[in-house]
Amino acid sequence: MKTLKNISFFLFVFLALGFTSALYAQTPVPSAEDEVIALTYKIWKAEMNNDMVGMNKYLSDDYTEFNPTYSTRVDGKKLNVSLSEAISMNSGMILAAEMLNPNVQVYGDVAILSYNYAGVNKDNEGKMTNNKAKSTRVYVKMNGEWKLVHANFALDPMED
Amino acid sequence: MKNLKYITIIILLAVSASRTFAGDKEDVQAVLDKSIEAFNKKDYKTYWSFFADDNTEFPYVVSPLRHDAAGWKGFIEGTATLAYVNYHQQDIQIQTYNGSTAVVTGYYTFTWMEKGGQMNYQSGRTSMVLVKQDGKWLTVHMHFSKMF
Repeated sequence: MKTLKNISFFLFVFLALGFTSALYAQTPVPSAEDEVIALTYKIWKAEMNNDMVGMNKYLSDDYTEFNPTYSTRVDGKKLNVSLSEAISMNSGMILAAEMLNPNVQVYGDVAILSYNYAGVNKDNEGKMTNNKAKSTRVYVKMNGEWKLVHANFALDPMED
Repeated sequence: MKNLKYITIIILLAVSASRTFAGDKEDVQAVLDKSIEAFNKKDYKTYWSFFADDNTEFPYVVSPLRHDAAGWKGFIEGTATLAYVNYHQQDIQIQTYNGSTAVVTGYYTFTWMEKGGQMNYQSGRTSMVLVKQDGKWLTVHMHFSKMF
């Protein structure tokens, strides 16, 4: 009887372990490609909700940016946050933000995300505009978290 | 006396570390200089030796990303038919990460003369990413766009 109990116990442990490992095996581990694309959509969602803290928390301290608003590079997180917060006070609403043709190149702890941006904005007078751009984002994994170290947001050449 | 030894060791380590990081930026700058020199001399074999096989580009006048240098190669080697080309970068900033990645940003001018003598000029902003593979810095991505 005792032997039967022992067998039942070991069988239970064996099945439980098998079930757990099967669960782990079925949980897909997101790739770096998926992570940086998901993070970019998260940043856009924060921007759409005017959550500037949520939007800027993924910038590295030495973040640099080229954008269509200013001719020259904007250097450093502090300066970029200061400008983006000011711009957000009177910028209407972002109704849609999507990336077309996304491409991610991964080299160790670095991921380069390139895409054609497609967005729809509504200004404070209710006027709708479509935005298009070609964009590059460079993410570096620091202390286990992806940080944006550089972005080049350029108007689509066909905008001219 | 013992403290002095520790301080000396710390100073030597700090100097050594700063030289390592400064070396990365200098190495990247040297690669950029050689790459530009090769392009201006129309030495495409040398020029391509500074690129990774999977490099991508956002050219100045084209919306889609160029993959694996196919379109980019056509454009670059197409400049062989021009009478004169000169690409120049200035106000370069280099950010380095983990000794194996460099983000290079700056401004460029591109001047070329067609065989008929007509001069053309383009200027813009550029972002580049280089990674160190097998001890060599290689360009993996370039983004050219107009000045606003």
